[in-house]
Amino acid sequence: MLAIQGMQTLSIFGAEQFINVGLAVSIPKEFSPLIVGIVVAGRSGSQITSRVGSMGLNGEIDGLTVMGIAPHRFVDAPTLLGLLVSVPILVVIGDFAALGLAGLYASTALGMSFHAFMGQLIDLISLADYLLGISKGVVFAVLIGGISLAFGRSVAGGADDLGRKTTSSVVVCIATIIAVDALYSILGQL
Amino acid sequence: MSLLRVDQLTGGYNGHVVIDRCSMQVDPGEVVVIMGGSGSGKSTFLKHLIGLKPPMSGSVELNSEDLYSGSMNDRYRRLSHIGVAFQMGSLVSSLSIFDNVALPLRETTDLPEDVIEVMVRLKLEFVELLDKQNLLPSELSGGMLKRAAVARALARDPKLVFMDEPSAGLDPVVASALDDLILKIKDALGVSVVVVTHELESAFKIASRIVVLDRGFIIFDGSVDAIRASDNPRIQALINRTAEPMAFDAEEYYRRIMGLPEG
Repeated sequence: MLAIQGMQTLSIFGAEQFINVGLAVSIPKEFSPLIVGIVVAGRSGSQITSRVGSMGLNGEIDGLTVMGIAPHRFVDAPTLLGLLVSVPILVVIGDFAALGLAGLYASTALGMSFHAFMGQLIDLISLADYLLGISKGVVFAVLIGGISLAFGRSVAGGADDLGRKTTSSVVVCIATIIAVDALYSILGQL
Repeated sequence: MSLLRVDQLTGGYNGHVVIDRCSMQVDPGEVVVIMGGSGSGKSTFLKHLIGLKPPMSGSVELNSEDLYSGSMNDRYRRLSHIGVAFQMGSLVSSLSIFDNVALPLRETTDLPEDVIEVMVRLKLEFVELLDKQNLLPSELSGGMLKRAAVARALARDPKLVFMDEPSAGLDPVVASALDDLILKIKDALGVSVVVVTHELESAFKIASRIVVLDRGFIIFDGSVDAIRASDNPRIQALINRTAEPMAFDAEEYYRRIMGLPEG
């Protein structure tokens, strides 16, 4: 999408050949972690809240407690660990997928070879750019895990509250991810 | 030495007292049945006994250690010496029956996996569920679910097991089989059992001692013969299943209907 919109905008100024700069600046640092964060918040965040909420309603959390098993060790820690491993990996996969597909579109539109375009594009991206995106992935993982687990633990009363808390969890996760991403950008300008 | 000692326990929710100055104890080899009608405070009392709800005042001692003193980790350590079978099983829905029974052993002991496997099979054989070990909790019937919960409660060979409404929701034949299982636990394994129930027939069959809760107070603590002989009208109402006539207060009725403040 960024390549398509960017090409259209830059064509107004006859500067389509600079699309690689826009892609290099935006994808690894901004769009890949942001979109991965939103997708994981929607897919996994909702699943975590509903699972933990159901465990509470079914008495599974009480069952763990009376067995002497701390729920934060059995439920929370593996969830957070899974997110901390998977979200940064998904950001890297997102980088490859987004850069590859954007390169395919842009190189075709510019009439360049794919390899030459990608060579230029990758030269424009520093290791720090990739690491910044991955670090966002780590922060988003903690946010998604913390928020969705907290909402799941707060479920009380029944299925009605479970549905409400699951929806709220996803909304809060996505809003927080966007706010933290904006904060990253503001701090990056200082 | 008592396995469980409850001393002047007062508890409830959000400052509202549900259990008032209750004291009792459980000695080795006993089946103690806690009885009471709906709203008598049985479930709240049980939550206080099994570490899910700190009391407002008073104490709960497991093996002479105050259950609620110290950190949360201290409480987890003390709880690892008891077993609890909840009314609805409370098994982890994503784990098989085998893994549910193995869970407390894997999480709270250093036993090797092959020893855990043998211990789990022993417990599943004891409750006659060995052939169902690979099923998920959602694939079991109500009676099987309760037996699986009993197997998990027995997994670490505790000296004291709590059971919440073991007969509730079961047909008489399955309920009777569960009563037999409770007696088998006491006789074959030497485990003390605390059963919370409102099923009279079941209570009279399994109890070494009966504790009756009424409106948050313990109003009786004694043998099955003693409860049958009791002349307390509240106990007679409970065992004869008769509703207690409520005194009619016309002024109070008018105040409630009109939504007027008390006094």
